[in-house]
Amino acid sequence: MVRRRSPWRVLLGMLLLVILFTCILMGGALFSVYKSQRGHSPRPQGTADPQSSVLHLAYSPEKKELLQPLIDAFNSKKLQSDDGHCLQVIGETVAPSKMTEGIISGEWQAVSPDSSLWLGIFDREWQKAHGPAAWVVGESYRYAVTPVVLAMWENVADAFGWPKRMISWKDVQQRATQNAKFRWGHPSSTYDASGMLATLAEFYAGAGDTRSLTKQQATDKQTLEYVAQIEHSITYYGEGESVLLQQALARGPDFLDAFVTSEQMVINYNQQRPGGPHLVAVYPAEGTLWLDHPLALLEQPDLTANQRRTFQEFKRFLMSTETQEKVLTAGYRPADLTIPINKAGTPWHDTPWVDALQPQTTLQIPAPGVIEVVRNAWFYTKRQANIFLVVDSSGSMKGKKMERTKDALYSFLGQMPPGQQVGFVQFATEVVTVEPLAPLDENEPILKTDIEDMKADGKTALLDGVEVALDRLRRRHDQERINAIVVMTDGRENNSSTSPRELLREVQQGAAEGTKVIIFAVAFGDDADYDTLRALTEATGGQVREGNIETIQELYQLLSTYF
Amino acid sequence: MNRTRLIFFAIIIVALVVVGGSFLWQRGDTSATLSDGDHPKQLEVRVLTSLAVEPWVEDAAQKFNKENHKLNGVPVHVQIIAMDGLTALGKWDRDEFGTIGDKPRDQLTAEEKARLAQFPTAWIPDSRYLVELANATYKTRLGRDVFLTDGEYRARPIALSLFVWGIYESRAKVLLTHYSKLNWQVIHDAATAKGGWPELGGDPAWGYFKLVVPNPLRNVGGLAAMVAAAGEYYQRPSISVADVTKPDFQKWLAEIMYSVTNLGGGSSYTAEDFALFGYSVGDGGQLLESDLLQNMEGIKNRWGEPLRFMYPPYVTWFDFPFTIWMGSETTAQEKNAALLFEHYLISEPVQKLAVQRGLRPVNPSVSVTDGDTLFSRWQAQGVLPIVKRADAMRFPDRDILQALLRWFQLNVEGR
Repeated sequence: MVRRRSPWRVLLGMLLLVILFTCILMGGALFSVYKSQRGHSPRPQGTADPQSSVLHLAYSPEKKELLQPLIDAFNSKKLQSDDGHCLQVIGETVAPSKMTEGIISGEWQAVSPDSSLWLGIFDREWQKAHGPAAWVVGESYRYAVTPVVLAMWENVADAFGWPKRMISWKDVQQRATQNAKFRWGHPSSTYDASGMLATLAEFYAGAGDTRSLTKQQATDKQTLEYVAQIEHSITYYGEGESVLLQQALARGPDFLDAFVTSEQMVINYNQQRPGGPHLVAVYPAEGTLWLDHPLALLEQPDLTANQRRTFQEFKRFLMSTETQEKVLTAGYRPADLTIPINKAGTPWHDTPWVDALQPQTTLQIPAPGVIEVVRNAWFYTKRQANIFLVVDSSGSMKGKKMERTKDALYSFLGQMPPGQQVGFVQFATEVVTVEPLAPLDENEPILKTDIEDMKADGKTALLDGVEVALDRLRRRHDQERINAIVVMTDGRENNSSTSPRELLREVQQGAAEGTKVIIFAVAFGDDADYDTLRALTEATGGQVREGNIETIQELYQLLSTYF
Repeated sequence: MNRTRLIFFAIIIVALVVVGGSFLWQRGDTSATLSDGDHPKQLEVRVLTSLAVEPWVEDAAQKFNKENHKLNGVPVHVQIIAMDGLTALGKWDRDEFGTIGDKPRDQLTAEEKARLAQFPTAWIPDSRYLVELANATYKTRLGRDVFLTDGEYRARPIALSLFVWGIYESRAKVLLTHYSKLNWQVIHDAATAKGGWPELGGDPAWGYFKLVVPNPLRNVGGLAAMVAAAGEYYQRPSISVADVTKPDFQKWLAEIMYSVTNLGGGSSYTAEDFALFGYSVGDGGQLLESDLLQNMEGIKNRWGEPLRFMYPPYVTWFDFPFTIWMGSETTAQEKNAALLFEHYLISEPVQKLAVQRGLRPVNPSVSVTDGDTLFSRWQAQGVLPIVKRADAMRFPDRDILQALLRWFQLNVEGR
């Protein structure tokens, strides 16, 4: 039997369906309003991106031992931004002279070079890229400072009249130019601030003043001649303070009589050699300069609020009493002035090697434009070099290693400034090619042909190759220039007629005759004979560097800090 | 209950759930937005703050945030962005915060919206004159002021400080013995003394006289110092473009500026640097009183001697006005939330905190010498609890400031 539905029930059903449909429509409309409003609601920049709170920090290499553990300690606190992201700092060691490029490309949001001297240079380069009204360096803070000093062995300082008499830059410069046996050095002016400051002190002395150095004074013939005379007395440059410290630790007073470094490095050395001989921090009478290690925020266009917050929290962490005590223990003067630096137990307490109340005066830091002129002028005044490139072409160099070596050699030749004299030795089973030392602008085509013609084959007579170069340098007996050998090899010595001991004896004899030769080595691959290379290089004040694709282009810049 | 009724009630319940759920969802999610809509979950106040008052304002903001202040039931959160007044002015000038002008919010691009979320709600520059300079820029750009000078939302000082001479005690004694007073002319003469300190009767180890002045391109204090020097040079509290471009004056000022140790670099925190590097970088300088007071203990601790305070005849004041942005980039609620924080800053307990930082209060019920304050602690070193405001140096207009900055760039920094 079919049950008939009453008309009102049908109507009621339809009405309910309409209500349901209307409700769904209303729900949908409300949802779309929500969606629309959500779209208009600006959220803080970086909310969705966890990277928005990561602060990339480039800092100068000499403070890695201090700063990296502090960065790790900060990150382990796992602080969070208001939108729940972890505030994190990623540190990277970069030579201050190399920071500009990364700043302009937006690689970092903060930097901590060794001196605020660089901050003006960064802004200047930024302005070149973004217009004269633009700035990139924002807030900056100091957390650890140390003055630049002349580090001298105690007996050397005594000979200058220390501690009764104040020693000046001029005293040391005069001693170096008048006494050929006096050996001194400073880091390369292109690499870090202490090197640049040492150079600046020479320009001031050359201009006969301690302030208001102008571009005109810096390029004046008399000033340049004076600086050149001093620079010719330099026994050793180097890529930074850390290298000078390593050399002093390894060789003691045999290394140099005096060198420019920071007070912190003097403290560091004396802490590691408590039994002496001690280094004395001499605060030059004309004044010195400070390495103030600024922590600076970079006002990059895409800097997020969270990165700004990370910067603030990191700064706060660095300035906390606990961190500042660590800064003091490391031999830096902490920025927190409430921490006494000469209380019992600090590196300044009851010691004659450093003085908490020094320096009494500083040299004036000129404007960035003048500093740029000084840096450029230094290239033309610094001691020139005789460089022998000694290259392995044994069978193990086949393939990519040979390509990389050729790349490195072309790169070396391309970057060398005018005035350098270059020679070339190619070795395999025996010495294959020898090009004598000559000004690069004269022999560059021959060198390039020799490099192009290199083919990998035979055994490795590494020591014989070095001996030939050493012999050429000794015979030339050029005391005006820095004499250096750069060895490029991948394998183990297995075919030389000379031994490492004999070779080192020859190096020492050469030095005794007045031809000091520094040997550097670029080792390709894991099979390189690092022990032999280290023995050769470290005895002469050089270094072994690994030559890989990433570093090959930078190798010249690095090694060139020594010559 | 028959089947028809069950279906009827089920439909009604489903309808109510759909409508109610949608409503609650919309309400809940709308409240998650930070700065827009009628019912924000939290009102964010971003305050660009001058470096000189930032430590105090930051402390106050943290306290304020902890106390859970609300506006019409909505919590207010304050975020402080430290920025030198001149740097901030440059950013306003270049429109780097990203104003939207009259553009409706629903037509903004994603990038514009993101920038808007960072737009400052308020600005505390060093001086009201910086506010006037920013207004002048926006008047040209938008045809109206963006910071008000009267009414409820007007720029209102939250603390005061002034420029004062701070000289290391040992050096001050020698200067006062040699010259019997201290002013810009004495500084000029000391700075140009060819024999340096020995010529003035000081220790040869001190080298030349070294002046501390902030880099005027980085810190508005440097500009204020040059203006003060000009005022003393012309013996009046108001200067003109013609005054600062006169060759004699420029030569005189250059001779002073050349005695600054770090001409091109330096941080924006000159007083802190002065304390950190001591007499090695500067024998003395004209700096903000609050900055010097905050560093006095540290200076004595690190360098073994305090500073001597001396007040110049023409005093340059900084009044740190709390200035609320009046454009459509921030909502009415955010503006009111900023006002709430402004009132908090001038409340008696927070003003007492300002005094602890060496700032002079704007709230008349707070005294600078009530209890162990920096003002009472260092009175023996010359700190004055009360300074006459009659001889206040008038802060010059944009043309004069630009003329001075240009001169500095060309003749001092770019030398």
